[in-house]
Parts: sequence; structure tokens; C-alpha cells
Amino acid sequence: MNRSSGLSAWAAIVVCATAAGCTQPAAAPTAKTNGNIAADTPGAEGAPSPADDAALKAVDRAGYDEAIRSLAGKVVLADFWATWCGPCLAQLPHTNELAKKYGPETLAVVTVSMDEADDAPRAAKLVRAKAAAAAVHLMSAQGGGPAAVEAFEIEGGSVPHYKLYDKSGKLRRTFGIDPGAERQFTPADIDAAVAELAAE
Amino acid sequence: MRKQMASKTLVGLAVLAAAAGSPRTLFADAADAQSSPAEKKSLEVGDPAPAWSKLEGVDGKKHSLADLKEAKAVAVVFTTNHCPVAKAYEDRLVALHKQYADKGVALVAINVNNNEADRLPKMKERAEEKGFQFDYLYDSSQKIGRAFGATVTPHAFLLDGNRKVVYMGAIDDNQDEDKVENHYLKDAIDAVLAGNAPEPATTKQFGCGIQYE
Repeated sequence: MNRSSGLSAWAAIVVCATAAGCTQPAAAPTAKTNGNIAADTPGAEGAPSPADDAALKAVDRAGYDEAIRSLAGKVVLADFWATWCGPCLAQLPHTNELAKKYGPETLAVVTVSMDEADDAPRAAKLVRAKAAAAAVHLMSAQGGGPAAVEAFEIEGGSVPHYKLYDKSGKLRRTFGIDPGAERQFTPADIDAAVAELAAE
Repeated sequence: MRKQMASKTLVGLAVLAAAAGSPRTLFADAADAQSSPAEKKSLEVGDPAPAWSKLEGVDGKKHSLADLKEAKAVAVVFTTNHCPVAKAYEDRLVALHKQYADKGVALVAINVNNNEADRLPKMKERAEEKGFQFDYLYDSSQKIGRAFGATVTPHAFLLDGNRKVVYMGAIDDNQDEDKVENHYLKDAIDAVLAGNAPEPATTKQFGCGIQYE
């Protein structure tokens, strides 16, 4: 019930990812990775803040849960992503738009990088450029392997993965890959779910 | 009779209207109801392996699980060209094949993604470039991916001599080969060759989501 799924919207994202991001796993320059996404042009979202290079806060599951709890009173959308994941990079600006649309009093976006420690600096830079309106940027303290997938309950082991909490802090929806579903989830499914919880 | 049907339709509409506040929830529930029958249950350790049949490989030939009668174990790895995580594992697959081919273990890589960058012509290029000596098959219907419940690339499954699934999950625990501590798939193969059940029998796979259509 918490996975609605669908493909066509993703297809566009995936194609772009295939053309650029996904083929450049290590140290791909930001501009190249996202060349075809206007909003991702470095600087397009405003000048980099002085904190751009600050490390992301690394958390285990308990630290993540604590961060979610601290945002009680707002709808919370957690966006799990990774630097090597083209669809994630294509989707972060959309998550950012949601944060801006609802405003910090209504919707708190939490980003969680599932990168390995080696990629932390690049992850920090990317996420601050792409999701500046997020309330908190976190990083998995366990990297992105099986232990982290288990700890953070990433459905199917695939990012992007989303968890959506209502204003009381209760987990209400998750969005992840489901081979058994007739369609995979789309960004529109996330939008609609956020709208529902924001109206509660 | 006709009247009855009409009133049923009305009831249906009323239910829809009542649920209009959460149309997607209704959708999802309907989908779940459809997928609840036993044949839709996800693959588990101990289940007979889904059998692929006549999938075209990078060698231009058709391949079926049934062709591998002699194999003591069959490692099936869903992979794909474009995914950085899958790419990080290509050399490990080559090494795995080299290490176990003589021991009667078959390695079969399968791609079910239909991007231009992932389809058969590109698979052939990659197989040649990397020197894949194992079968690398393409299923544009994606049926075999769904049958296995493959979610990401790479996603590994190990079938024993009876073609039951005895391990499913990650190949190992780190996409950076230098940092690997647990060689799950390799350990599972060793277990099967020794006549034991792999432990762990499942791990959490990670990688690029398969693009199901």
C-alpha cells in the first residue's frame, strides 16, 4: 500500500541518468553529471553558501530517527540518494521544489546520502547545490552496502528511496522499487502523498 | 438481472466517491489485492528457481536454464551496462567465473533493462571489452527479473544442484573491492560445493534500481 509505482515519469529521468550521470561513477564533475537539468547548473539555485564544504552529519539508524523526531509538527520527507545514482541526482531538485512549495513550517525535507565515506565531500557539495531548501542533510554512517540497506530499511536496496512521515512523526508511506508491482512509483505519487499529509 | 448489475455499479461508484480523498491509496490496495494470490509471492530461499528459456546472449545464441544440467550450482547475477555499481562488480564477476568454472559452477549474467545504453548491442560491446567468458543474457520482456524479484543491479542468486534458490542478495558487502570484508556469493558457492547450506542465505542487495516498465 505504500508503494505505488510507475514508470513513464522515471523513464525520462533514467534516460538522462544513463546518458550522463550513471556512466561517470567516480569524481564526475557536477556540471557534466547534470548537464541536461537546468536547475542543476551550479549557481542556478543561488550562490554557494560558506558551509558548502562542511561535512554531512553521518548517522546510524538511531541518529536518523532522532533527526526525524526533532522535526515533529511538520510533514517530513526523507530522500535517500547517492552520488553514483543518476535518477537520484535528477530527483533531488524536485524534492527541493517540494520543500520550497510548502515552506519550512509545513514540510521538512531530510536528505540522506548512502555514499561511502570516500565520496562524502562530493556528496556534501552536490546535495547542497541541488537541495538547498532541505531542513537537514545527513549521510549514512555505514556507507551504502547491505548493512546500511538493512539499517535504513531501503526497499529493494535501491535509491532513490523515500520515507514520508506525518506531522506526528509517524511513518506513513515509503516509496521504493517493487518488481511485483504493475507500475513503479513516480514523482507525482510523492507529490500527491505529501499533499495529503500536509492537509491533515 | 440487469437491474441488479446496475445497482452494483452504483455501489462501486459510491465507494470510489467515499474514498476520493485518497485515490492512490485505493489504487494501491486494489493492486495489492490483485497480487495477493500465491503465484505472486516473492521468491524465497528454498523455492525452485524460476527458469529462463531461450534468452539471447551476447554470443548470439539462445540460452535456457535447462541447458545447464551438468552444473553443480548456478550463480545468477542481474546486472546492466550503465549502472556504476554493476560496473564496479564486472571484474569481480570475471574473476568469479574464472575461479569456479572448472569446479562445475555456472555463472549467468542477465540484463533486463531496456535503455539504449543497456540493450543487447551494448551488452555485446561490454562483454567483449571486459572479456566475459560467462553467459550474458538479455530479457527485454523483463519477466525473468520479475520472477526472481530482482530489484537492483547487481543482484545475485545462487541455485544449488536441484536448482533451488539457496542464496539471494549482494555479491559482497562493498562496491569498493578493496574494502570488502564479506564475500557472500563466493562463500555461498563454497558452501554448496561442500554440500552445506549457505550462511547467511540472504543479504540486502544494493545498487541501481532495475527499470521495470
